[in-house]
Amino acid sequence: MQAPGTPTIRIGYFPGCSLHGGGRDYDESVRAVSRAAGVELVEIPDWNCCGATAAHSVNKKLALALPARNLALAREAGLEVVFAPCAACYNRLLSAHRALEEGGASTHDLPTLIGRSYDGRLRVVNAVEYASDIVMRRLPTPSESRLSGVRLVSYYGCLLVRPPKVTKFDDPEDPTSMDKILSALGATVLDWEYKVECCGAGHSLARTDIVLKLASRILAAAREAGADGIVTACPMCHTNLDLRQMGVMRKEGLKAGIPVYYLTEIIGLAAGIDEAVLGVKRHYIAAKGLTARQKAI
Amino acid sequence: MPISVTKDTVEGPLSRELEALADVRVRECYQCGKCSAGCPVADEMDILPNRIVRLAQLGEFEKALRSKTIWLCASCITCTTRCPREVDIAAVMDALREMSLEKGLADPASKEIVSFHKAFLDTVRAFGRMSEFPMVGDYKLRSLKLFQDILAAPKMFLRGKLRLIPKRIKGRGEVRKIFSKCGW
Repeated sequence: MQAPGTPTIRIGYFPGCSLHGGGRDYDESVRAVSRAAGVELVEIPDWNCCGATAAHSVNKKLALALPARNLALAREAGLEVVFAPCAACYNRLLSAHRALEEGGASTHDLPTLIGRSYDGRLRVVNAVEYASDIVMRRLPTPSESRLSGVRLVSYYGCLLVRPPKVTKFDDPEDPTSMDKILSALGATVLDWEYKVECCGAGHSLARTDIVLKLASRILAAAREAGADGIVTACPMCHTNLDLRQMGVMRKEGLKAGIPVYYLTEIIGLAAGIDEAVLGVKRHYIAAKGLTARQKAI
Repeated sequence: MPISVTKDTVEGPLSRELEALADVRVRECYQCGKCSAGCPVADEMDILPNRIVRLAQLGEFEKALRSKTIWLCASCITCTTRCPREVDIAAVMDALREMSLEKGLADPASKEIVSFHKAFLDTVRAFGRMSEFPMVGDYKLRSLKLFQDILAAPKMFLRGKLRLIPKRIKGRGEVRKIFSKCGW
């Protein structure tokens, strides 16, 4: 499907633990759109967990050393770009990369801790960068958009844009990079105020009550904006807005849910990829038929 | 009670430990309260984020280390992003959590959150990766929340989202060594 004359390229891939479990639909859609765009995803050999919120909450050294091992493995495999679809993995890999780049006290002697060296010649990209800089440039533009009339809000959450010193990506208070992709795909992108509000993130299991409260506000704002769906680029955000939405609905007596999509699912749907291949059927809140809905209008 | 921020309070041993661990200077904070105003979990906290920074300035660490706040912080980094004095408050929270556990002062009522972090890291140390099934089992044993979220598991399973046998990486020994070198 890739635009004619576009040669296949190889990009490093760090799926992260979620995409092998609860975020399986994200992995499926990432792989499907990559295939369509002629990108061969090369998984970092024998990668380990980035440590996520747990590691940086209790042990700073570990929080840098765990992702640092992955950076070193990526370079050993000759990779120059690593795509991390999970916003938390992206953030942790980049934090370790920056600590190693800066040198001095902040490195905590990382090469010794991991027993490997790292030359720093790696670019870590998040899902929005991967979509805009790589996938969108390699997919042909369909003559007629499959998403015209579909109203979406982009939800960036926390770790794609914060802290700006680490991410150096988009505006941390009012990011627009995902909105631009959705507009380019022909969807109607709605303005709303919850783009970068926290969903409760890692508290999903231990303090579900907090997550239900925060998710409820985000979902209500999306409903008020009149969205047909919320678009995320993070498996944790997806869990808290999709899986936890069942709890919000129960608590608030709501009958209809609002579907929550991964950015890569939307790109796949726009490119005409079957929603079963994209993993849309695995959502907790029914999300099938987004493009069919548009046809029916 | 009059309070004073002196060289002794801002340069005490715990202040130095905190500033080194978080790579921040808490003395830069002028107490505008912007961090607390934007904090999504402020209403759950026993001490607001700007007050935590104040306690650190005053050298009154015990209150901060025993607080619920440090565990309730969701690490969304909104505070750090907005701080006009460039104090990395999220990093202060990280450092205080680490110090709190190390000194055995973690708030007993925040056991669920502490158990979650421990269970998560137990799983990563054992397999090299996080896997929901063993991680949740470990969490339940640690927190004794045996029936919490029991309905989510079959829903996950039906959607092919629950891997019953965790994936083990080849470099497990290497990962375990990293854990022990980091003192965890």
